[in-house]
Amino acid sequence: MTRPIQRIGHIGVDDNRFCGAAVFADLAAASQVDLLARAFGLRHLSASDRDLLRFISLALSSPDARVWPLKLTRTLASYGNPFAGFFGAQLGNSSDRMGPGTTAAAATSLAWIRDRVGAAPTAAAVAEAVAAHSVERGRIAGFGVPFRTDDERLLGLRRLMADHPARHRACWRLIAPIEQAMRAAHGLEPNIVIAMAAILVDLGLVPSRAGLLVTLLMTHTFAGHAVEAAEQDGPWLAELPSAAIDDRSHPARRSPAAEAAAGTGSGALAPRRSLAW
Amino acid sequence: MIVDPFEPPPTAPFTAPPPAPTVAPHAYRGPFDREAWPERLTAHVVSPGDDARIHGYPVAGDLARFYGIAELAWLALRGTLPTASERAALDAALVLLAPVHVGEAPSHAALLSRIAGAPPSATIAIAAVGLGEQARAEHARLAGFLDWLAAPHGPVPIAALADDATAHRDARAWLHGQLRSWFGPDAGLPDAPLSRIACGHLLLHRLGMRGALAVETLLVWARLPAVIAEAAHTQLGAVRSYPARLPDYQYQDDHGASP
Repeated sequence: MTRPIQRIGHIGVDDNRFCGAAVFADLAAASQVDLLARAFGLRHLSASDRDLLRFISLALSSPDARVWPLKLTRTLASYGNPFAGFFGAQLGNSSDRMGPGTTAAAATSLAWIRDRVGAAPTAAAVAEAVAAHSVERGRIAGFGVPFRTDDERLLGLRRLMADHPARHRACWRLIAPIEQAMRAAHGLEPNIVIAMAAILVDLGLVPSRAGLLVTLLMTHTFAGHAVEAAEQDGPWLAELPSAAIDDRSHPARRSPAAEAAAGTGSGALAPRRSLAW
Repeated sequence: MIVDPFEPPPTAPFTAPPPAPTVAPHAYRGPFDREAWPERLTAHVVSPGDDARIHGYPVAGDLARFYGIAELAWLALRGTLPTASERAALDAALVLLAPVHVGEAPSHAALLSRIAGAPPSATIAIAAVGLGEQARAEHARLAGFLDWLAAPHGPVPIAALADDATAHRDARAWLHGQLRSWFGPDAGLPDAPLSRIACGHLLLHRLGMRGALAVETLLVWARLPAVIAEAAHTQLGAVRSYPARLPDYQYQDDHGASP
């Protein structure tokens, strides 16, 4: 019987291995970002590549407590367990509709368009590819900016990228013509997801892995809320006051069994129906 | 004159310092401050308060006295109480779908959480995550069968068939008869050896349970007690009792491999 192969890690006698490297020898100088990237198959980050992941973490630092996944974190942590808040809430990040999970879809779309249009496409060729994508594969994630004109995270990320050599890479250069095409065809503005997807695909990340990597690059936002809410939010979130609930459930009524019992005048003695059938 | 070394030197008469200029705090404004939002959560199923009601039925004074947990689940998901046939069919579906053995990922994961020393709430959460994933995968795997049930043309999709066509004939015959009594003479099992799990999904389909959220909730709910019970047989932190090499992973990289 063949054995399953895993390439992530091994505990040895005097050193351990992580994704192809000796932990205390090869990786002794690795940063947390290096180790995280290595887990996703990005084994050799240059200093400027490392900056790209730092840029993403920085740009994703929009940790308003009222952002829904973070409110979810606080709600789950409100009984005092930050682990429940931190890990429970992030299960929702696999969403393909909003949040970091959509980076995988955006990355997949970008790689598809890049492969279709080649290295130096015209704006018309990109527009044609965007239209073809919409027909054959559906919407392109990373577009749409709710509640504001521009995504301030995208603007900030672009400022960080202003002099970075990664601006000359294939997918980053595709963003502008894709934006034009999406604006013309759908009236949608880009959000940070499409830019992060471009950075990560240009780094060589497997597109389907982008959602989880982006989630991990923003864990500081979840962690902050989980820790704080576990310590203080019980009185606020463990149970909202009744005045905060708009009760639109069915008006009070009596069940058929209760009606029957009342009709026979034997309600007080009515046997509870068994689960057996 | 004795000079006390700890006496501070003479100073100029004290005069209060001028007040520090007050700096107005920044007003951080953003979309959440600017937009209009609802002020209350909306309850649709459970009426809050001491006399809690579910879809209008008082819990303490009515449901707890006259109904069971399967009926409560039906009520919560559907908004009405089930008929006797619906209750019986739902019971059968949940029982058919309940078993998850220790080798299946949800139960294995819950057991591992005990090995790893997780508190009970975490074991329950871990089991629920595993069961949710199992339910999602199972629902997707049987999607063709569910389509077939809606429009039964051609052979029953193979994903719904039992590995051993001869096993559990008596159970299927019994269920066939029950289905006909619950749903009508044309609503029996198809003429194919359905698996136990497919039979459970067929019952939910016949009951009109549609949509991933409702169906997968029932799957998780039916399975959670047995999964937790299995995990409870593992002592917290009993690392030596766990078969660590099952399966027997081999680590490989460009420089070598584990034995």
